[in-house]
Amino acid sequence: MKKIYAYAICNLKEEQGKTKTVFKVNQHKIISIPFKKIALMGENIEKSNIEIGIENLFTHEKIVEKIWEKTSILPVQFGTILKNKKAVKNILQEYYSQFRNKLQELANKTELGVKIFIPKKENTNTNTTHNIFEKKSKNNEENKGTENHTYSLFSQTHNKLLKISIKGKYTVDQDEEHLIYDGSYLIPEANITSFKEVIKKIDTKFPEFQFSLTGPWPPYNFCKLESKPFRKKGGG
Amino acid sequence: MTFENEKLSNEKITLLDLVDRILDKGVILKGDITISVADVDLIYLGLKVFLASVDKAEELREHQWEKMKQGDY
Repeated sequence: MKKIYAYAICNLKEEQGKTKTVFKVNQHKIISIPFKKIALMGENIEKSNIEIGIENLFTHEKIVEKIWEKTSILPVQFGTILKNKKAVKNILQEYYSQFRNKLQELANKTELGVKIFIPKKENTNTNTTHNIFEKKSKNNEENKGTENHTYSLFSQTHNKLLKISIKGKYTVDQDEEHLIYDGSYLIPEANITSFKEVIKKIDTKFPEFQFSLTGPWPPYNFCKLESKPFRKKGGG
Repeated sequence: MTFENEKLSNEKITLLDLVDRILDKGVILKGDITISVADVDLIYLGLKVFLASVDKAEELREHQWEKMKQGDY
Protein backbone atom coordinates (compact mmCIF):
# COMPACT_ATOMS: atom_id res chain seq x y z
CA MET A 1 0.00 0.00 0.00
CA LYS A 2 1.32 3.45 -0.90
CA LYS A 3 2.44 5.77 1.83
CA ILE A 4 1.81 9.52 1.77
CA TYR A 5 4.50 12.14 2.20
CA ALA A 6 2.80 15.22 3.72
CA TYR A 7 3.53 18.82 2.67
CA ALA A 8 0.66 20.94 3.98
CA ILE A 9 -2.93 21.12 5.12
CA CYS A 10 -5.21 23.58 3.38
CA ASN A 11 -8.80 24.69 2.99
CA LEU A 12 -10.90 23.60 0.04
CA LYS A 13 -13.26 25.94 -1.75
CA GLU A 14 -15.84 23.19 -1.77
CA GLU A 15 -16.03 19.68 -0.44
CA GLN A 16 -14.30 17.08 -2.59
CA GLY A 17 -15.04 13.40 -2.50
CA LYS A 18 -11.93 12.01 -4.10
CA THR A 19 -8.20 12.38 -4.15
CA LYS A 20 -7.03 14.60 -6.99
CA THR A 21 -3.71 15.35 -8.62
CA VAL A 22 -3.19 19.08 -8.18
CA PHE A 23 0.13 19.85 -9.85
CA LYS A 24 3.54 18.43 -10.62
CA VAL A 25 7.02 19.62 -9.71
CA ASN A 26 9.42 17.56 -11.79
CA GLN A 27 8.80 13.95 -10.78
CA HIS A 28 6.73 14.96 -7.74
CA LYS A 29 3.01 14.50 -8.34
CA ILE A 30 1.18 16.46 -5.65
CA ILE A 31 -2.21 15.15 -4.64
CA SER A 32 -4.95 16.50 -2.40
CA ILE A 33 -6.55 14.05 -0.01
CA PRO A 34 -9.79 15.68 1.16
CA PHE A 35 -11.93 15.47 4.24
CA LYS A 36 -14.97 17.75 4.24
CA LYS A 37 -13.60 21.26 3.51
CA ILE A 38 -9.92 20.65 4.17
CA ALA A 39 -7.27 18.54 2.50
CA LEU A 40 -3.81 17.23 3.08
CA MET A 41 -1.51 18.01 0.18
CA GLY A 42 0.95 15.21 -0.25
CA GLU A 43 2.59 12.74 -2.53
CA ASN A 44 2.53 8.97 -2.90
CA ILE A 45 5.84 7.43 -1.97
CA GLU A 46 7.21 3.93 -1.52
CA LYS A 47 9.88 4.76 1.08
CA SER A 48 9.38 4.94 4.84
CA ASN A 49 11.86 7.71 5.41
CA ILE A 50 13.35 10.68 3.62
CA GLU A 51 16.99 11.56 3.58
CA ILE A 52 17.69 14.99 5.03
CA GLY A 53 19.71 16.44 2.20
CA ILE A 54 19.83 19.93 0.79
CA GLU A 55 18.03 18.97 -2.39
CA ASN A 56 15.19 17.32 -0.49
CA LEU A 57 14.89 20.31 1.84
CA PHE A 58 14.66 22.75 -1.04
CA THR A 59 12.22 20.58 -2.93
CA HIS A 60 10.00 20.31 0.15
CA GLU A 61 10.01 24.09 0.58
CA LYS A 62 9.41 24.70 -3.10
CA ILE A 63 6.33 22.47 -3.08
CA VAL A 64 5.00 23.96 0.17
CA GLU A 65 5.38 27.47 -1.28
CA LYS A 66 3.64 26.46 -4.48
CA ILE A 67 0.64 25.23 -2.47
CA TRP A 68 0.81 28.42 -0.39
CA GLU A 69 0.57 30.57 -3.55
CA LYS A 70 -2.98 29.33 -4.02
CA THR A 71 -4.37 29.22 -0.50
CA SER A 72 -3.67 29.54 3.23
CA ILE A 73 -1.82 26.53 4.56
CA LEU A 74 -0.52 24.79 7.63
CA PRO A 75 2.92 23.64 6.54
CA VAL A 76 3.78 20.14 7.75
CA GLN A 77 7.17 19.37 9.25
CA PHE A 78 9.73 17.94 6.82
CA GLY A 79 9.90 14.15 6.74
CA THR A 80 6.33 13.35 7.79
CA ILE A 81 5.12 10.16 6.15
CA LEU A 82 1.72 8.63 6.77
CA LYS A 83 0.87 4.99 6.36
CA ASN A 84 -1.84 5.42 3.74
CA LYS A 85 -4.77 7.59 2.66
CA LYS A 86 -6.94 6.21 5.44
CA ALA A 87 -4.40 7.39 8.00
CA VAL A 88 -4.50 10.85 6.42
CA LYS A 89 -8.30 10.96 6.59
CA ASN A 90 -8.21 9.85 10.22
CA ILE A 91 -5.92 12.75 11.12
CA LEU A 92 -7.98 15.27 9.14
CA GLN A 93 -11.14 14.01 10.83
CA GLU A 94 -9.67 13.97 14.33
CA TYR A 95 -8.22 17.48 14.11
CA TYR A 96 -10.79 18.91 11.72
CA SER A 97 -12.02 21.87 13.78
CA GLN A 98 -8.50 22.73 14.99
CA PHE A 99 -7.17 22.74 11.43
CA ARG A 100 -10.10 24.84 10.20
CA ASN A 101 -9.70 27.39 12.99
CA LYS A 102 -5.97 27.67 12.51
CA LEU A 103 -6.32 28.05 8.74
CA GLN A 104 -8.83 30.83 9.29
CA GLU A 105 -6.49 32.52 11.78
CA LEU A 106 -3.59 32.40 9.32
CA ALA A 107 -5.50 33.53 6.22
CA ASN A 108 -3.70 36.32 4.33
CA LYS A 109 -0.84 36.35 6.79
CA THR A 110 2.81 35.65 6.37
CA GLU A 111 5.84 34.99 8.50
CA LEU A 112 9.05 37.01 8.44
CA GLY A 113 12.32 36.06 10.07
CA VAL A 114 14.57 38.60 11.78
CA LYS A 115 18.09 37.75 12.82
CA ILE A 116 20.70 39.97 14.45
CA PHE A 117 24.38 39.13 14.45
CA ILE A 118 27.38 40.68 16.15
CA PRO A 119 30.84 40.83 14.64
CA LYS A 120 33.69 38.72 15.93
CA LYS A 121 35.81 40.66 18.38
CA GLU A 122 39.53 40.46 17.80
CA ASN A 123 41.46 39.09 20.70
CA THR A 124 43.38 42.12 21.89
CA ASN A 125 44.15 40.78 25.35
CA THR A 126 47.68 41.54 26.47
CA ASN A 127 47.26 40.46 30.04
CA THR A 128 50.19 41.25 32.25
CA THR A 129 50.40 40.84 35.98
CA HIS A 130 50.55 44.52 36.80
CA ASN A 131 47.37 45.59 35.01
CA ILE A 132 45.15 42.53 35.22
CA PHE A 133 43.00 43.82 38.11
CA GLU A 134 42.61 47.18 36.48
CA LYS A 135 41.54 45.43 33.27
CA LYS A 136 39.05 43.18 35.03
CA SER A 137 37.37 46.16 36.60
CA LYS A 138 37.29 48.01 33.29
CA ASN A 139 35.96 44.94 31.46
CA ASN A 140 33.13 44.56 33.97
CA GLU A 141 32.05 48.11 33.32
CA GLU A 142 32.35 47.65 29.58
CA ASN A 143 30.38 44.41 29.72
CA LYS A 144 27.66 46.07 31.73
CA GLY A 145 27.44 48.85 29.16
CA THR A 146 27.37 46.34 26.33
CA GLU A 147 24.67 44.30 28.05
CA ASN A 148 22.49 47.38 28.49
CA HIS A 149 23.03 48.35 24.89
CA THR A 150 22.17 44.84 23.69
CA TYR A 151 19.11 44.68 25.93
CA SER A 152 17.99 48.00 24.48
CA LEU A 153 18.49 46.59 21.00
CA PHE A 154 16.39 43.49 21.77
CA SER A 155 13.55 45.32 23.46
CA GLN A 156 13.37 48.09 20.87
CA THR A 157 13.49 45.64 18.00
CA HIS A 158 10.86 43.31 19.42
CA ASN A 159 8.48 46.03 20.63
CA LYS A 160 8.60 47.97 17.39
CA LEU A 161 8.09 44.88 15.27
CA LEU A 162 5.24 43.65 17.47
CA LYS A 163 3.35 46.88 16.82
CA ILE A 164 2.89 45.94 13.18
CA SER A 165 2.66 42.19 13.77
CA ILE A 166 -0.10 39.89 14.91
CA LYS A 167 2.28 37.70 16.85
CA GLY A 168 5.99 37.58 17.35
CA LYS A 169 8.63 35.76 19.32
CA TYR A 170 12.37 35.70 19.60
CA THR A 171 15.12 33.73 21.21
CA VAL A 172 18.37 35.16 22.42
CA ASP A 173 21.37 33.08 21.66
CA GLN A 174 24.99 33.26 20.74
CA ASP A 175 26.74 30.64 18.67
CA GLU A 176 29.82 30.47 16.55
CA GLU A 177 28.08 32.50 13.86
CA HIS A 178 27.42 35.30 16.42
CA LEU A 179 23.68 35.08 16.17
CA ILE A 180 22.25 36.94 19.14
CA TYR A 181 18.61 37.48 18.20
CA ASP A 182 16.45 35.06 16.28
CA GLY A 183 12.91 36.31 15.79
CA SER A 184 9.82 35.24 13.87
CA TYR A 185 6.85 37.49 13.24
CA LEU A 186 3.41 36.78 11.87
CA ILE A 187 2.13 39.78 9.95
CA PRO A 188 -0.71 40.65 7.58
CA GLU A 189 0.59 40.39 4.00
CA ALA A 190 -0.18 44.09 3.57
CA ASN A 191 2.37 45.00 6.28
CA ILE A 192 5.49 43.60 4.63
CA THR A 193 6.73 46.99 3.40
CA SER A 194 6.12 48.66 6.77
CA PHE A 195 7.94 45.83 8.49
CA LYS A 196 10.98 46.30 6.24
CA GLU A 197 10.98 50.03 6.97
CA VAL A 198 11.00 49.40 10.73
CA ILE A 199 13.97 47.05 10.33
CA LYS A 200 15.82 49.69 8.30
CA LYS A 201 15.27 52.29 11.02
CA ILE A 202 16.53 49.97 13.76
CA ASP A 203 19.50 49.03 11.60
CA THR A 204 20.42 52.70 11.29
CA LYS A 205 20.17 53.15 15.04
CA PHE A 206 22.41 50.16 15.81
CA PRO A 207 25.03 50.20 13.03
CA GLU A 208 27.41 47.86 14.85
CA PHE A 209 25.06 44.93 14.36
CA GLN A 210 24.17 42.99 11.24
CA PHE A 211 20.44 42.65 10.64
CA SER A 212 18.85 40.15 8.33
CA LEU A 213 15.27 39.83 7.22
CA THR A 214 14.07 36.65 5.51
CA GLY A 215 10.75 35.64 4.07
CA PRO A 216 7.93 35.82 3.36
CA TRP A 217 7.66 32.30 4.75
CA PRO A 218 4.63 30.06 5.15
CA PRO A 219 3.66 30.36 8.84
CA TYR A 220 5.89 27.56 10.16
CA ASN A 221 6.29 29.17 13.57
CA PHE A 222 2.64 29.97 14.10
CA CYS A 223 0.72 26.86 13.07
CA LYS A 224 0.91 24.94 16.33
CA LEU A 225 -2.50 23.64 17.36
CA GLU A 226 -3.50 24.99 20.76
CA SER A 227 -6.29 22.59 21.68
CA LYS A 228 -6.57 18.82 21.78
CA PRO A 229 -8.59 16.98 19.18
CA PHE A 230 -12.19 16.06 19.78
CA ARG A 231 -12.47 12.40 20.68
CA LYS A 232 -15.61 10.35 21.01
CA LYS A 233 -16.21 8.70 24.37
CA GLY A 234 -14.61 5.28 24.42
CA GLY A 235 -12.64 6.20 21.33
CA GLY A 236 -8.83 6.04 21.07
CA MET B 1 26.13 46.81 8.93
CA THR B 2 29.74 47.14 9.92
CA PHE B 3 31.74 43.99 9.62
CA GLU B 4 32.23 43.39 5.94
CA ASN B 5 34.71 40.57 6.35
CA GLU B 6 32.60 38.81 8.91
CA LYS B 7 29.27 39.43 7.28
CA LEU B 8 27.26 36.33 6.54
CA SER B 9 25.85 36.07 3.06
CA ASN B 10 22.12 36.54 2.67
CA GLU B 11 21.93 33.15 1.04
CA LYS B 12 23.47 31.48 4.04
CA ILE B 13 21.16 33.26 6.47
CA THR B 14 18.16 32.31 4.35
CA LEU B 15 19.32 28.73 4.28
CA LEU B 16 19.70 28.68 8.07
CA ASP B 17 16.19 30.09 8.38
CA LEU B 18 14.85 27.49 5.97
CA VAL B 19 16.43 24.63 7.90
CA ASP B 20 15.19 26.03 11.22
CA ARG B 21 11.69 26.17 9.89
CA ILE B 22 11.11 23.04 7.88
CA LEU B 23 12.95 20.67 10.20
CA ASP B 24 11.99 22.11 13.52
CA LYS B 25 8.65 23.84 12.98
CA GLY B 26 5.43 23.26 11.09
CA VAL B 27 2.52 21.02 11.93
CA ILE B 28 3.55 17.77 13.56
CA LEU B 29 1.15 14.97 12.76
CA LYS B 30 1.34 12.68 15.75
CA GLY B 31 -0.03 9.24 16.36
CA ASP B 32 0.63 5.58 15.70
CA ILE B 33 -0.12 6.11 12.07
CA THR B 34 2.75 8.52 11.55
CA ILE B 35 6.16 7.32 10.56
CA SER B 36 8.68 10.08 11.08
CA VAL B 37 12.21 10.44 9.91
CA ALA B 38 14.39 8.63 12.39
CA ASP B 39 16.90 10.55 14.51
CA VAL B 40 15.89 13.93 13.10
CA ASP B 41 17.51 15.85 15.92
CA LEU B 42 20.83 14.14 15.44
CA ILE B 43 20.88 14.65 11.70
CA TYR B 44 19.65 18.21 12.14
CA LEU B 45 22.53 18.98 14.44
CA GLY B 46 24.91 17.59 11.85
CA LEU B 47 23.28 19.68 9.18
CA LYS B 48 23.69 22.87 11.22
CA VAL B 49 27.38 22.16 11.49
CA PHE B 50 27.44 21.52 7.79
CA LEU B 51 25.71 24.82 7.14
CA ALA B 52 28.38 26.64 9.10
CA SER B 53 30.82 25.93 6.31
CA VAL B 54 31.26 29.00 4.14
CA ASP B 55 32.44 26.91 1.21
CA LYS B 56 29.31 24.85 1.33
CA ALA B 57 27.16 27.95 1.60
CA GLU B 58 28.79 29.30 -1.54
CA GLU B 59 28.25 26.01 -3.29
CA LEU B 60 24.62 25.98 -2.25
CA ARG B 61 24.18 29.55 -3.34
CA GLU B 62 25.42 28.73 -6.79
CA HIS B 63 23.80 25.38 -7.36
CA GLN B 64 20.62 25.25 -5.32
CA TRP B 65 19.26 28.57 -4.21
CA GLU B 66 19.40 30.21 -7.61
CA LYS B 67 17.76 27.20 -9.20
CA MET B 68 15.00 27.28 -6.66
CA LYS B 69 14.34 30.97 -7.04
CA GLN B 70 14.26 30.63 -10.81
CA GLY B 71 11.91 27.70 -10.54
CA ASP B 72 14.22 25.33 -12.35
CA TYR B 73 13.35 22.43 -10.15
